[in-house]
Formats: sequence, structure tokens, C-alpha cells
Amino acid sequence: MAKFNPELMRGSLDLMVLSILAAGPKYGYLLQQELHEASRGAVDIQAGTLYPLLHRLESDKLIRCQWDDSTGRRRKWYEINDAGRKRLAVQAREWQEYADCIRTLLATVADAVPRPA
Amino acid sequence: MPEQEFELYLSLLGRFLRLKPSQLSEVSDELRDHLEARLEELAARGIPRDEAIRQALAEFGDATELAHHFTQIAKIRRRRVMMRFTLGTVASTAAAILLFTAFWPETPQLRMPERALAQQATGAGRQAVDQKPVVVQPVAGLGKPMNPQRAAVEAKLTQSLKPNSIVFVDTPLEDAVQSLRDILEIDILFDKQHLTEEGIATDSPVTLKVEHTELSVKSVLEVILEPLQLSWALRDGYLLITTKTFAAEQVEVGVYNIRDLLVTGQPFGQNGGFPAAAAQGPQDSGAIGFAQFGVQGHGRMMMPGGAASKAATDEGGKAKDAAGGGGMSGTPGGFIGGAGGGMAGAIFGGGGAGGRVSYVTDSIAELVALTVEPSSWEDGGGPGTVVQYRDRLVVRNTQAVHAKVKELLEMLREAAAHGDPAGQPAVLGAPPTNPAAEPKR
Repeated sequence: MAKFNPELMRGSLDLMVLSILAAGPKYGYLLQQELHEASRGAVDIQAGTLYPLLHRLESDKLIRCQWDDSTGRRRKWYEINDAGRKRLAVQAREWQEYADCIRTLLATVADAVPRPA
Repeated sequence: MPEQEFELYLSLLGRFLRLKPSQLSEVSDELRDHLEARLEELAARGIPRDEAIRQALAEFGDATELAHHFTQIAKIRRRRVMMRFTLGTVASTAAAILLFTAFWPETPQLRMPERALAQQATGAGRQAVDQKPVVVQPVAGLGKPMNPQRAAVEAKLTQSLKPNSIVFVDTPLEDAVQSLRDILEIDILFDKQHLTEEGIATDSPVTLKVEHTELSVKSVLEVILEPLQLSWALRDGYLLITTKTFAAEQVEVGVYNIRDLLVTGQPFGQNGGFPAAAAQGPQDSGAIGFAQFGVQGHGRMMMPGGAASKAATDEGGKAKDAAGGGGMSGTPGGFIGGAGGGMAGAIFGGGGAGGRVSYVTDSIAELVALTVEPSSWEDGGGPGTVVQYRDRLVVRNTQAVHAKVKELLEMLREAAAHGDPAGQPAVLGAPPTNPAAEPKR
């Protein structure tokens, strides 16, 4: 699947990251990989974007972090917390409504152009 | 096994990051983990090591951009805390003012009741407004000045000393200070703790011989203290001699009345936006709430007053709390929440125009932050903020910077009063009766 335009993803990244974290704690690299896989390659988030985002979510107290030294290498794990879950639920609902709205508006247009594989 | 190339990249990144050492090492560790994990994966796919290292780093992107994004977050974090604080203090000050104006009919206009009106007979037709910032504290008592003791000390500092009235030749600092105490009749105390911490002895010799000019007390102090890495700080009722580093950390909030400096004839407060303060100039570093502004060169100001008010008027006065943002929403005086949306903008918007050299702005806050001690403001890595709230300028910074801000405002008023050499009246503060006045760019 072709990669999504970054402009399009702007504003939804939080949502995407939180949704991945809702499934369980992840470290940065793992999160990046899972996003990539879950979207079949359409969502490609760069490290330079991901890590500041994670730090921001942490400072917004939507996720918490924990360091793990057990593998011999210092690894930072992120986990969603209650506030984060609540935010995810709210944002997800808002996004669904938004998507429905756009879909309706573009109903006539979208049919015309098939998405490149 | 730490890869040299990764360490190089990380140390380069570290140089750009304005973080505490502990935070910095954490960020390094995290990113190092990512790079090594990526290297493993690429190597597992059969890519030769050198190529894999190169690719892992390339995927990471520009170190400066990454550093910028991290720094933005740290600043937003700090700003949120300070915005809440500032909003709280400004709100309580505003409430206090309202109470005063309600009960004391002598103040028909909105002005700081604690400050006596200083009518200076300078400039034609401009309204003199007292410059002194009010250090925000709970109101002491109705109708009384807020800090009479502090004001008294401040007044002494501006006194001038006649030439040859003070002569120090390798005089121990303590003795020099004692002389000043005697002459000025104010208490000057030493911040013993910080001085000892930095190993500065109070009997360090100082020399001062002024033969030709009248020096202000302030200047005398500066001359004596500067070589010892010391500085002074105003306190209520006394002057504190402390280390430069400590003094530089002492920030306080002051509120300046800038009503006369706003473009006249424009009502403010309509639609929650402030057309008078709208930055018509290039929008910058939209870290506060508006993804559309993206990130431009850093070292520039993120002035809620400017960016927010323009957007506020665009949106008909509603500040959008962008997705993911915590912080505050609504537009009282241009405070904008929704930093999350702005952050998303900043994340993607990286690599916009480089740092600007010339600038056009109608935002006094922006002007202040650009011209007065740029490095002392948040965007320059310092502790200070300057925000325009309606017809007030709320400044949080060290006393030294406050003094400079005051000077700048005075200069602006001077320029407004006298116009430019070509004979055209300057706009700022120009009396409304002058129909020829047009916004000067």
C-alpha cells in the first residue's frame, strides 16, 4: 500500500500511537514497526517524529514510561494510562464522526479515482 | 556494542538539545536503543554493517530538526506551567483592579491603582502612563501602594552620587557595602549561602574611583559587583547582594500598561481577538495551538498574543483546542490551549524557512522578545516569557530584563511622541486627532 501523505496524518498521529499502546506496552522502535505493519506499510512514521510525540504524550500524562535494563541495553517502554485511554476513546469517536463527515462530502468524488496500490 | 557513528550522532544531537543533563542522557539512551535495534534488523536482512549504519542514521533524519522538536516540547511544557501561573496572577490582578474601580471613583480608566500617576511633561499630546511594573502579589490593603518598601529601595538605586563621594581602593566588599548602607540609608544584605557556595568571599577587594561623572547607585553597584561575579536583587525593604547565577534565576512577573502603545482607534476585546495586537507579520513557530503555522527557523518567538489573536479573529474569536492538546483553551487575552495540534504541526512542519533577519510585527510582545535580551526568553533558552494580555504586557523575567523592557517601552513612547525626522508622525501612540496617521510598516 502506498504511504499516506504526512499532511494527511498530521493531527491523527496521537490517535495512532495511543491505539497501538492500548494493546500493550511498547518501546519506540517496536511501536514504529507495529504501526508500519498494522497499516500494511501505509503509515510510515519517522523516528524524528515519533520520539518527540511520545515525549509529548508523556508530558501530557497520557502515557507513562519505564526503563528496562534487563536485556543489557537500556530500553524505554511506554504504556498507556487511564487518562490516555479516555483520551483515545474520545478522540477515536471524534475521528469516526469526522471520517463519516468527510466520506459523505466526498461521496461523489471518491468513487472516481481508485487509490494506487 | 556502542557504534561510534551512533555515538557521534547522539553527541551532535546533545549539543543542540537544551535539556537538563539527566534528561539528555535519557533521550540519548532511548535513541541509541532505537538505532541499534534498527541496525540489528537491517543486518539480519543481509545488509552490510556500514550500509546498515548509514541507513539507520539516514532514517533518523536531521539532528538539528530532531533537537528542535524535543526542545519545543520542553518549552511548551514550561510555558504551560507559566501560562497557568501568569493567567492566574493576571486574573487575580484584573479582579483586584475591578474591585478598585468599583469602589474608588478616582480611577475612571483602567490602570494600576497601586501606582501613583506620574505625569511627565515630556512629549506633545501623549499620555504618560506610569512605567513601573507591578510585581504581582496579593493586594495588601485597599488604596495602599503594593510595595512601598520595595519602591523605596528602588528609588534609592536611581539616586546619583557626586564624583569623588565614593572612593574604594582595594576595599573589602563588606566595608564598601557598609559605606553604601550609611550613605543611602538602606539595608543591604549578603546572600551568604550562595556566595559561600560559589566561593566568593565577602572581604574580596573592590576598587572604585569616580572622578568625572555622577554615577547612579545602580551603576556603582554594578561596577563593584560585576568583577566578583555578583549582582544585586531588589527585595521588599532591602537590597540583596547575591551571585550572578542566582540573580539570573530570580524571575518575577510584572505587568506593564501598554494601552498607549497599541494602535489607536482599534477596539480591543471584540470577538476575543485583539486586532490591535494581531501580528500581521510572518506567523512563526506555531507551537501554540495552530498547526497551520508550522515551524520556522528557531530562535524566533512564539507569541501567543500575535499568532493567537490573528487566528482568533479569523475564527471569529474561538480558540480551537486542537486534538491532543492539554493546557488551556478559550481566548482570554490570547492565551491559547491546544498545544497538541500545534505540536503536530511543528513535527511535520520542520524545515520551513530558516531564521529570519528582518521582521514586521504589530505585536509588542514579539517586539520585546526579539529586541530585549533575546536569550533570556523561552525561545532563546531562557526562563522568561512575555505575553500581551489586552492592553497589558505581562512579563516574566529577571529584574535586569524588566528594567530593559521598561526602557524599550519608554523609547517606544519617545519615538511615538516625536515622530520621525521626516516630519511624519509615528503611529504608535499618535493622538487620534491626526488623520494623516497611517499604520507604518
